[in-house]
Amino acid sequence: MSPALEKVEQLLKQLPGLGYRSAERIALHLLVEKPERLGPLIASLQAASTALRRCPVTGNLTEGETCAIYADPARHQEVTCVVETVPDLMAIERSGVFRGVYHVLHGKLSPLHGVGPDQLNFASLKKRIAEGEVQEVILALSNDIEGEATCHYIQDELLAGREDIALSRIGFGLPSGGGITYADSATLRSALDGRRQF
Amino acid sequence: MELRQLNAENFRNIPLVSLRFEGASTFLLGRNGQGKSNLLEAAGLITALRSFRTSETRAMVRYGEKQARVYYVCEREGEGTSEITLTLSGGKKQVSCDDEQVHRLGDFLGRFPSVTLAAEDIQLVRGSPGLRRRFLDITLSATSTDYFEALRRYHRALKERNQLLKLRSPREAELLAFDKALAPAAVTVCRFRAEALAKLNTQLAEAYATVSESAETPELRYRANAEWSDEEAVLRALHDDRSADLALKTTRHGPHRDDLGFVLAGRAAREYASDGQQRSYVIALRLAQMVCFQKASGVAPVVLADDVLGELDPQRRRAFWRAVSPDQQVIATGTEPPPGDERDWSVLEVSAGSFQPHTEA
Repeated sequence: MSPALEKVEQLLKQLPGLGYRSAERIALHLLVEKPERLGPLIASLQAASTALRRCPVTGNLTEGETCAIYADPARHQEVTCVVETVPDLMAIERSGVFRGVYHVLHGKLSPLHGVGPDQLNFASLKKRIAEGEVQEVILALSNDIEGEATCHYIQDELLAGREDIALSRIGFGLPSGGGITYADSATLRSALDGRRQF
Repeated sequence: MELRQLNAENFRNIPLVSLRFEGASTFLLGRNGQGKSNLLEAAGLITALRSFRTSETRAMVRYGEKQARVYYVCEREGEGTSEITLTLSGGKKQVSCDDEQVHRLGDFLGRFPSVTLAAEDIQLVRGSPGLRRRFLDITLSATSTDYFEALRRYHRALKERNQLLKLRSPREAELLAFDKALAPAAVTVCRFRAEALAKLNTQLAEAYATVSESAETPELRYRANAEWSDEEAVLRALHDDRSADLALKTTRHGPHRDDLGFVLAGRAAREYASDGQQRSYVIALRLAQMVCFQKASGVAPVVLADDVLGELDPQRRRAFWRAVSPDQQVIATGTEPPPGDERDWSVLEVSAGSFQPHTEA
């Protein structure tokens, strides 16, 4: 086999979600089957990599000064939803139910993975809180130990003495339209724990 | 529960074996080192995915092979049969049940209950606290999903916290954040352990009376390493321990350091009980575990007896069989053929990892 092709496959395989077979398919597709797609792909990747940057306020991706959601005057800037990653933000955004703005931490606290407060996007959240633009914080972090610890950290460290700011954490429970029969017991437990007045 | 079929591939010294179990009583007969215990070990994995001999998954894969597989056909009374495949590779375990991969292990544990009696059980009395915690954790995980989840979260939180303690100068706020994440799981683990022991003790006393035919009362005492009854207590304790924890770079107190006291007639069984009493004690403990599993899962566990009954005198042996229902499935091993009057054994001869029906010479 060609060493050049192998190199391409090797690099593609390192991308998230791609295994050996998909890497091979993509490499052959771009180099042999549809070489005309290669140029535009390279150009668009390069253009995006120079244009895109982290929004200094929210941590979301942006091409402008601040991210489009934050800059949108129709969004409620005083309500901030804290998420771990940009895909998490996109998932909530797709649901179309949230009209506030976001704050992306780019991870969660995990000493085992070498992630401490300095590795997370806490500084600009602190600044946003100090400047008084935040009146409500919604924590949309994962339901594991690391997500839990990150929530406590935000509450104790970033929101200490700020009882004026409403703080809540998203509920964990049954998927919409899902029946109870097939739910696993851990999910049912959170659904019952998080039940509310009807 | 009945185990109808068991296939094992590259499991310990077994390259490939396919066994059907007819009737309620199977006896695996063979010299030492032929693979009898390995087969029982494979069978016992179905309950809590934990081996009675090792906590190293890798050790169960045949030397030089990448993965081991065990395939089970089980029947739960009134529910028909299920096919379960367990794959062990690279220290990891994967389970599929009726062609669907099991993602939530907590829901699988204990569904197919079995109890293993092995010579190593005596170490529960004599050995280190870790063995006794393991016994308790397996028993509880197989009877309660909530316990299994809480234990998993506790150990994850503990690992994160210990990693944090190893850093040069961890921040107070970060430590506190993980203390708070750890606290609810720790409280749940402690509460479950204390409650479970109360129940287990009732069963244990009954079983001990049957097996030993003596009047002493056995009791498992919960030697909690820390009095963690509620979250505030945990946070207070972790806070008070902080500087010592930081100096030693590990969490010194908590349910991960709990122990069980094996007590007989008010005295420590390890020091004061005779060899025979200690053996009766652990057999009674397994019988108690059997009753717990039966109550939690609603079906009678399979009894896997690894060469231990040979050590009992005839009287205790008969007493043991009285505690196991005649139609409950038993798979036993031994180097000598079993007495024919106990159960209607079908005997398989084991030699170098292969299993053949026994023919009278």
